[in-house]
Amino acid sequence: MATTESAFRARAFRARAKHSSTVWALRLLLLLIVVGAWLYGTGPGEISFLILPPLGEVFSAIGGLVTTQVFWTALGVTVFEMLVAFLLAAVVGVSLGFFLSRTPLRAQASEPLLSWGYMFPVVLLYPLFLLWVGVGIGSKIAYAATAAFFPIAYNTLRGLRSVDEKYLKVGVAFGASRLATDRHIKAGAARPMILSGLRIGVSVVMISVVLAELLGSNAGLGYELQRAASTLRLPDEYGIALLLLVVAVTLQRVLELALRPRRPGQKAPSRATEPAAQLDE
Amino acid sequence: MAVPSVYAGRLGASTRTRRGTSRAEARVWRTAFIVGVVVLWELLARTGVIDERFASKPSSIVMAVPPLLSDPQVLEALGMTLYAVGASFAIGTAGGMLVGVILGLQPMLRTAYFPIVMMLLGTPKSLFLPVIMLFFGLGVESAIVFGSILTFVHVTVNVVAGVDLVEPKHLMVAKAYRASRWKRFRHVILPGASPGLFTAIWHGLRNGFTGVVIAQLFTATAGIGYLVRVYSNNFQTDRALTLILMVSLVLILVGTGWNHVEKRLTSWRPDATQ
Amino acid sequence: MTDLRVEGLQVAYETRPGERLVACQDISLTVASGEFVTIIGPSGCGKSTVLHCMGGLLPPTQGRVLFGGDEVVQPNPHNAAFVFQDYSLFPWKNILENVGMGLTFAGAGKTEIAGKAAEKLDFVGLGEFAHALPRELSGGMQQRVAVARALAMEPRVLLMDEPFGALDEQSRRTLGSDMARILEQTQRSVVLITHSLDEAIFWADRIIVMSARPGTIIEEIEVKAPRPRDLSMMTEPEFQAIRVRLFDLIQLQQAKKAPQPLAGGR
Ligand SMILES: Nc1ncnc2c1ncn2[C@@H]1O[C@H](COP(=O)(O)OP(=O)(O)OP(=O)(O)O)[C@@H](O)[C@H]1O
Ligand SMILES: [Mg+2]
Repeated sequence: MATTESAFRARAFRARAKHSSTVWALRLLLLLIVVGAWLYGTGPGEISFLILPPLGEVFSAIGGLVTTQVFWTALGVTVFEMLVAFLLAAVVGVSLGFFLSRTPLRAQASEPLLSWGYMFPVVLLYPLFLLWVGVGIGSKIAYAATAAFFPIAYNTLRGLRSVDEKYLKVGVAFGASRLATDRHIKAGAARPMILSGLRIGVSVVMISVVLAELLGSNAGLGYELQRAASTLRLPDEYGIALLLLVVAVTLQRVLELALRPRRPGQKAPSRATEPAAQLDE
Repeated sequence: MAVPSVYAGRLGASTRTRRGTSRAEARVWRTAFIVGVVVLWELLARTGVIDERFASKPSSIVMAVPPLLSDPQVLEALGMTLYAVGASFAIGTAGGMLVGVILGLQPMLRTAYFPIVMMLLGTPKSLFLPVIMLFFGLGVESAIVFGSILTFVHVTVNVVAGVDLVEPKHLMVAKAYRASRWKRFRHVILPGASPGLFTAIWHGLRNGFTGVVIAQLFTATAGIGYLVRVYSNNFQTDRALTLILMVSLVLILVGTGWNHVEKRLTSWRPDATQ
Repeated sequence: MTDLRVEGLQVAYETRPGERLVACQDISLTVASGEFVTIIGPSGCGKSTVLHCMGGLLPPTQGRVLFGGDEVVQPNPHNAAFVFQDYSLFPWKNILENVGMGLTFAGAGKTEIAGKAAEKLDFVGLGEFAHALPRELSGGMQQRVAVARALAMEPRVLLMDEPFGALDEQSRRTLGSDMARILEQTQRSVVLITHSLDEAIFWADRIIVMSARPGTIIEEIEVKAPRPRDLSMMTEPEFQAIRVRLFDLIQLQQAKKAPQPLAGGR
């Protein structure tokens, strides 16, 4: 795939370099269409204010929200849940991946289990998580960590299993212990795949936490969104949704940057195709 | 003296392992693991270590299958979920394929819009759920809309990834032989991108299902998600788990089958191992 | 003492359940300390297999390998260190870390590792590339790093499997003579596998010629030319005589085995 990818990147890069103004114009166009449709809907389109509030009201709602303590507390709760869930899933997923990769038999026996877990619609279990862990932040963390665990463990195991034998041979020839093999050889060789699993984990955690807060909770941004919706505070509802979008995109960017392969010698799976093949809601 | 193989356990596809049997061996261990978990679960529940009201137990789950499958409410829920998933899949896939191919082939549009789609892929789309409910109500329409959105995003991304698989040198050949636009699409792009398109369909289906179920879990008054919510609230965990496991089994079977076919489809690629 | 002895070695691979493939048999040889031994033979005759056994990477089916009188059952890089054909540097570590890898595995202290690694890297003339990544180096340079990695263990024997296999003819020659100079200075025993007649002679105190599979030793040839050697040696009549002899031996094997199997396998 290397040739295709680089050729493609080159193509995209050229397009970007030559036409960056056009690109921004195109994006602006999309924004204008959305805003225009909104304005039309609330104006001449005569969509009820009980469905779509005027844009101005949404913006003033946002302005109001960001000055309240409630909003920042909710944001704190949500981000906290995300971080804890991600750390849990990452630690357990990566170490289990290493553990399972130790012998070929173990790896072969467990890989399908992980891939099935990956396909399993964990979201259906959320009502049961509520039953088991309660409505507080625990159920959000447990659910999001479970959902993110599978892609992380699966990708770690896949990466470790595909470590080139020639590197392992060096380890054996130079007397590396199992721990040293894990640390200096396997972790290095499998790093792109592990990082890719972690990046997918980031997305899954964010998706899961927000969803869980919407489906049943007593704190967090998702909860505030759900509350605004059920009390028909429409400008707030739209405002929180937009703020949540901003928060999610920002968080994703930050964590993704942190999880980018560092050494230039390492070719990460293409940014475009990586989660495409794997990320599920 | 038997000399221990230093390779054993250290090198993946080791020099001296009996390749033929190890696969079967792995299957045995896997099955043993699953059976072990089920037995342990049953034992813990029976001895009261875990509360059966919360965790149910495997035997109750099995026993719940016949009544569940003869319950008209369940059948109706299955039927309407299937309908909603089918509709989401159709809408989302059609849109995703179209947009995906366009973005894949038009560098400029791609540079402008693909990052937005990618961003959507990783963000919680459920934050649109309350708004969708405002527009489309609590019925099946909302589920279809949300399912379609998820399908659309996933299909688009996978189709673009698929179009990326088309070798530039093959496009060059098409150009050299002055193939028409349609012929180029039909004979070079489509076959080259087919593995990606194939993956796209699976992810479309998978996420159509997830979207529908999420909408049903949220506020709907019918469907599988709704039933799971109700059963859980009423401590009917056996019913909830039975329903979940049945549906998941179907999903996993389809997904595994899909993976197998996909592997075969892409096997001609020397670098398809990723 | 410190010599490496192989006694009646046979290795069989189990390719499929119940199917055995004898890679080499009846291999007996001795590598005296400080001696350069080269092994040559047709592709797939079991050269790598023998070398792996000598270093304890692979257990023999029959026979044994002795290092200074003790049986070798697992690799000990302080006794015998490998230089692999494809270098196998770790692309995720920089050059200095790569050279120090063996010491890291042996649990040496950080400063000791850094010191020794830097010393060996200087020794192979790559001191200034300590912080580069392997991919920034040419094939020949990577080769020297692999040698430095082995030398850092200060092993008594260096086991090299076609160390110039991945290089073109020109670099093989220059790198080969550079390397010969470096290794002559270290006073270590070297076992080197090669496909090239010239290399086999140029390096060797003794050449071991193997037959096609199942590989056995069909001839041992001493090379008495004085050291240090340089490329001019290749024009001397003695060199040419050995070359012709080797050519005949290998040709004979090829003819007997014809058609040659395509895959040599590693
Ligand atoms: N892991 C293995 N499993 C099964 N057979 C093997 C294995 N490794 C090597 N063989 C077989 O053993 C024989 C000897 O292999 P070996 O790699 O030692 O040959 P070689 O002389 O080093 O060849 P080359 O010069 O091509 O490197 C070959 O016929 C090969 O097919
Ligand atoms: Mg070899």
